[in-house]
Amino acid sequence: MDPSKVMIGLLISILITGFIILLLITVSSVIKCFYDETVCFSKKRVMIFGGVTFAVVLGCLFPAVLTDDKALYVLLIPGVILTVFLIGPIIMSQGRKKRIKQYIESILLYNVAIHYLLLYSLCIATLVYLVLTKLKVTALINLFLVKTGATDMAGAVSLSMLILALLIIPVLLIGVYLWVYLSFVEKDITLPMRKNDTALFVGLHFLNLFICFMSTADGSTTQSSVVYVSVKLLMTALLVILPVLVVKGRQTVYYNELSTRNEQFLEAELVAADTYRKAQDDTRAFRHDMNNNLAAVVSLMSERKYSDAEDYLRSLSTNLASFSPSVVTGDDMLDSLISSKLPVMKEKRIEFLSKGIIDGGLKWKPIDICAVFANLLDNAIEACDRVSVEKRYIHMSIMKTEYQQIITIKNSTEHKVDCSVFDSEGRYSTKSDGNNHGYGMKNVKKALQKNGAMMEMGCDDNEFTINIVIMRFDNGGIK
Amino acid sequence: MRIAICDDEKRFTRDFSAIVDRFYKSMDMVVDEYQNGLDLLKGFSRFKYDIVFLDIEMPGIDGITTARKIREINEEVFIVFLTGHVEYAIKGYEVNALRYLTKPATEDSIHEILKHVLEKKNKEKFLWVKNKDIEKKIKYSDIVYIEAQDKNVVIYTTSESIEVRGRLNDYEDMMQADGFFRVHRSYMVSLSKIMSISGSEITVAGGYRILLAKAKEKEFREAFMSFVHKEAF
Repeated sequence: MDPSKVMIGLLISILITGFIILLLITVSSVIKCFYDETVCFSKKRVMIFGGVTFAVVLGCLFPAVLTDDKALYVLLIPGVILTVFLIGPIIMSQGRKKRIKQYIESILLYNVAIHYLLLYSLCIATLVYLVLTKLKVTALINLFLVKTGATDMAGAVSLSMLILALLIIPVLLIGVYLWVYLSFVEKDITLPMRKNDTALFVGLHFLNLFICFMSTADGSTTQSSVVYVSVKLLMTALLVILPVLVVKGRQTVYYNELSTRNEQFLEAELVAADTYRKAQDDTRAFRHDMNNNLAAVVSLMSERKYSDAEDYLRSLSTNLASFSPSVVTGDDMLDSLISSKLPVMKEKRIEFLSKGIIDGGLKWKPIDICAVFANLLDNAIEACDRVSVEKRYIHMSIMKTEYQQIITIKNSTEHKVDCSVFDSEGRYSTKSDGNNHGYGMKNVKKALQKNGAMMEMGCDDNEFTINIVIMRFDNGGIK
Repeated sequence: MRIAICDDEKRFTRDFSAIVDRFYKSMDMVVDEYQNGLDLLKGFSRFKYDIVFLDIEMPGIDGITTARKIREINEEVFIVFLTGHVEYAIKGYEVNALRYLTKPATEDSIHEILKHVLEKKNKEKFLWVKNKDIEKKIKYSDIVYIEAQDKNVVIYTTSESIEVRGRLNDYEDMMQADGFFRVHRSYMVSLSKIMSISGSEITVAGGYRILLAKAKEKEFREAFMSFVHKEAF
């Protein structure tokens, strides 16, 4: 056999195999980021999985290039599917000893199974249309080798274009892969990707696959084949890059959202610092007054004006009460958050009452406490704003059972609130500034879910109620 | 019902007894007054108290320490803390305090607490279990979950598990109105003992993990929310 033919075959085989592997890893990484809880990829698992797939694909592709025997492709596809289905999940599922058992268990769970299925179908789709593209490339190479390439100028240009494309695309993909890997998978961050983005992504994949199957007919000219293959490869590359672009776009929105949350948090912290400073000033002033006060009492006593002395002492003790913090909920962060909202409520003449104590405080991250209660209080304040002044109130009550805690926030509303305004995504859509405020309820739900809490909304004629149920000992801890 | 009140100020304990007497003029309601933690602990070894009102800021051993010691002796007694400043009382979660009252406690708040405790006591239901080894009655509030196993059911309580003959369906019919929920073909859990819910798994007191059937998830969450709403105090 012609050694140059073997060399070119080998080169193209490696290029395309590398391309496939990169695609597989990128696609899996991206999907991992959508569903970080169910399909858990670690660096090690991605490497093992990639390695295994690489070996299988290489084993299948290499002889195919040499002989161009299409029967081998027929064998290749089920072989890869089988490998991905059998080895993939066992390597990827969490746990070491009970991998297989866990895999079977997790497959039985509806949600997880759907995610696995999605992952595999995407991998397989990518694989299949790359194999189909490769078929075209192999045919093309053979065509060139049969012709006297040097005299065919147009053919030579096309060939160099093709090789360039084959070189550039993997390099591009390596970049994308590294970016996704380093900035998300490694840091264990969930991509802010939405369901419709995922649907678009998956849809485009299948469209591409469909086109691949549609245009496998032979008999076209060299140039058209080259154009076809190039377009195919570019489209595949686009498919891989598309989610990254979407993610980039979403990220801006995501960070905007994050910064509003941070703002709320900082505001609460500022108020806490302010309260502390004020308390210190007050204490200093009080200490200073104390001597004068005591002297006054002593002089009253020495003049035997006991009832006057008693009155004086009473007035002192009411003064003392003003030193106690204005809100006590049992959680410092929540206290300062509510304190930060008190001036607004006072200005709008909203009556605020808080009853009960969160035993041991909320064991959440401060930012989550802010996300939940800042948004809920803001919503309540906004609702009160539409009610006539004398009817404005926000009542918060904290109660508990043996293992659970319930926080209820009630506020007056102008008229019956239609609970359906909170759609499935939890967006509160009565607000005019949809761009910024829509996140409110969504963030509340997210933060609650993260901390294993639940929420329920109730709407009455003149009252809106939110119940939040919190697990008091949610960490497998002992009571 | 036997009530203990412990406060270093005699005036306060006397006022408290008077408040209780005014509301419940029956002989069933006995109030014992204590002036310090040590005396209260001695009292605990003599009488079985249902509820104790405990001052946090006391000379000698403070209220929180006393409460911890009480919990070693008695797990079931309701503990209500009395304090001058609620913000100091927050450590009380260790001993599972029922409530914190700011001093001086109002008649209404004392009345509310006593009513709640009385209601809980009167509402308490029991389950008679009998197999070839033992025959006993179990409080509903001690049951964590019940599992179906062939023709038997296993009743898991906070301290033991008892296997008896019977069908889980019968237990479901009998107990579902009292805070129990059938979460799975083979499991029924006590809603009050749920410690966490994650996807298809419920963790209950004692760290047991129980499967939640997908088809029941929505109904279960609703039942759980309304249970907590109803039961919380």
